[in-house]
Amino acid sequence: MFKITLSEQAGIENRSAEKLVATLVGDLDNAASTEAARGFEPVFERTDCDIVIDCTQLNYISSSGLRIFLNIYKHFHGHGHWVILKRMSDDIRVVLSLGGFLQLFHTED
Amino acid sequence: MRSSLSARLTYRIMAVVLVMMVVIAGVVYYKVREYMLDEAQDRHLSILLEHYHDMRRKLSEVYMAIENNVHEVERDIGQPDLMFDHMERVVRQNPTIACSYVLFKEYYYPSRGRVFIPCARRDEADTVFVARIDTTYHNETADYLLHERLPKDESCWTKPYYESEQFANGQERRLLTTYAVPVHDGDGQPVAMFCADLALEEISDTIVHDIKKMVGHYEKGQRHQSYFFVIDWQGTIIMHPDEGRIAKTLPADVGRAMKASRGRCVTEIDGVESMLTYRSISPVGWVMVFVTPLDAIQKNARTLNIIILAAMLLGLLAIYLFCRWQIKDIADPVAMQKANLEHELKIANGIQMAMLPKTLNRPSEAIDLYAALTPARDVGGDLYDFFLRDNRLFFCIGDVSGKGVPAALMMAVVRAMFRSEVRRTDSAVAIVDTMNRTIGEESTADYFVTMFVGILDLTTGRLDYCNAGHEKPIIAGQPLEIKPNLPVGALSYWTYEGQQTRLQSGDMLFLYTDGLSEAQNVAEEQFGRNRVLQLVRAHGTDTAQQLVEFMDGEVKRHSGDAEQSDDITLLAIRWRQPERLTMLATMDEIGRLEPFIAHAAQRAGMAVSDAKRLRLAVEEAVANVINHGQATAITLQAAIEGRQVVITIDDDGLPFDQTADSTTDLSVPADQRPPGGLGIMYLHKMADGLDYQRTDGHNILRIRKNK
Repeated sequence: MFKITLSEQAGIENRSAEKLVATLVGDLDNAASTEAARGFEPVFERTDCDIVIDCTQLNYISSSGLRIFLNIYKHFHGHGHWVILKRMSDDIRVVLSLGGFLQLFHTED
Repeated sequence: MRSSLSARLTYRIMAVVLVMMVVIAGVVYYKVREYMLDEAQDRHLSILLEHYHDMRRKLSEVYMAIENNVHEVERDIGQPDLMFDHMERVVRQNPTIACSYVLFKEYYYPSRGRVFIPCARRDEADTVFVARIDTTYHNETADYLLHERLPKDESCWTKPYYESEQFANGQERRLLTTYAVPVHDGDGQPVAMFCADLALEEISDTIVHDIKKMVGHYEKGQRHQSYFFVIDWQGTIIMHPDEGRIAKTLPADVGRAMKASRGRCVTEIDGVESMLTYRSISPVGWVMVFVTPLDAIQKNARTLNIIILAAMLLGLLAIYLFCRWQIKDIADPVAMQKANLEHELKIANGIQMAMLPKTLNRPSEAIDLYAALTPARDVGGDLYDFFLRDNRLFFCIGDVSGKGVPAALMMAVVRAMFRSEVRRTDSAVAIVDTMNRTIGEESTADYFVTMFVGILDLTTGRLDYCNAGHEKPIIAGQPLEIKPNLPVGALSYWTYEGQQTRLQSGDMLFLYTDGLSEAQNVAEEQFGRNRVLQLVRAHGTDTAQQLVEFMDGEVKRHSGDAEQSDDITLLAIRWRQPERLTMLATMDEIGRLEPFIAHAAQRAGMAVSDAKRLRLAVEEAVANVINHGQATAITLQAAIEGRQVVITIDDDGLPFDQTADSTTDLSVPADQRPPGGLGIMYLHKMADGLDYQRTDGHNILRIRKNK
């Protein structure tokens, strides 16, 4: 089971821009990747804000999930914005770390 | 059903025959009795006639003697002494006459005194004496004749009387009757009665003796016997076998019963219901009566009736046997046709049952299944079925309401419908819904089916089910929660509600029909749902076959000699998380990996985070096979080898060695690497060991992960 929810949030910290928040729930595995890609489609239309990906309830991620994360990074980084991964579990953090992905993203606990 | 057509027909025929026989017996009895009375009357009258002539002859002799001699007495009336000669002549010439005399009025011959009666009398030795009866003589008969008949100038027969002592002359007094005619003097005036006595014993002895002899012969041994008596016109008994009753008067009601001059009547005489046959003797006004107790006559009628009834009963028995034997051949074809039809349906039912497999024909690691259906004596309506498709087990159990042919047909239809639905429908509630609508639309019969339809995902243990009014199945020792749905076919527009639950690996699902819970023993105690639940709990570790056979044995033990009234269907299904997973090589199937790996990891007691790493390794490897290997099917096996969980991935695609192909340069930042290779990188990072071989056109990749 995988679920994605998008919402907007006023700027925080030292960033004045608005923030997009994507809340992920469940397993972002190969089976869920198609659905996840579709769920993220609206964020690629935004060029004016940062994005927070809330991983509090993300249980599992596979390479196909990481590809989606990478595409999001490329899009927002290209427009000078941040991608913040929020409250990753240790398991998820290990997977990202092993693939060398952690250095691309801001993380937040 | 037990009382066959021929038996019912036989009983009806026998009832009609019995009524006819009773009527016939009644009519025969009545007619025979009438006939017997008629016949007895004729017989008795002919007996009477014989003696009638005898008596008339004797009476006529007396009558003629007096009538013929009265003129001579009148001629010589002036010479009293000649009277003795006349009297002597009359007695001598007529042996029937016991005594003859002339009763003169008092002082008729002044010279002879007050009373002058010239008389001639026959004694015992047949000698005739002549005597004059003088003044001392007196009796009632003389008074009657002189003072009643003589003034009226009438001749008459007197009523019987016993002769006077004087006449008896020391002998026994005889019973007499007297014929008397008036004697006239020269002026034509009646002056005396010319009399002749007849001794009745002479007649009666003969007749009574004759009749007694005859009756004794015919009515031997009877309590009341026939007898004969004679009365005069006043009802005085003249002759009777009981001499004590002679000269006494017969009860008036008996006399009144005899109306005509001859005939018969039935009346009570001396306390015995009797038939009286009688005939009067005209000149004297006497009546001869032959008395026969009704018993004596009807004894024969009764005997005849008993014989007739016995014959009829025998006839009835013969008819019964004949009917049982013959009607079976004539009438039972109808019943036999019905029985044949039922028999054929039972065979058809049996064939259908036989086609129902006891267990899966293609063994699955995930499923241990066993079913048994014990049909009741009549064809019944239990059904069950199961079907494997797309790694899912479709199963159902059901019970058609009612019994007999319609239920059996319905059951066949329902099962065929289920078979057809499961091939194209993936939801239990949809299957039930479709079946309900189809039956509701096409059937007008008031039959419905309680059903439980389930779809068990063999990989995940997810159970999708819909219960249509059936007994609650037992899942892992607990009754399964069910929604209150109507039975299938009860209401075509009913909206069914489906339910879902998830089985844990090793859970037993036990389904049954009410034939089990409601099985009765001789004392009519039911087996009971509670007992089913207790037994399933107690035998939770049995195999499906053991559980079903155990339950079957228990219910048979409970029922004992009681007849099984309903089909009993038992279905046990145990699900185990498979340790082998076969899937198509498409991304749609990849979701099945998670429960498979989770189960293997759980079995091995692996930590959650390690399980996730194993899952990632396996998932990346499988995704690579799907994306790059051009395989059609992939089989995974899980095994625990020492401290390692080993997942073997077997695919039929192009040769593809994922162990050798880790080319991703991790030193290049992730966003600057060329596409691809990420999956294989994770496979290598997550696995604690990898090996590959190519065998028989299959790639076999082993992924090892430490516990």
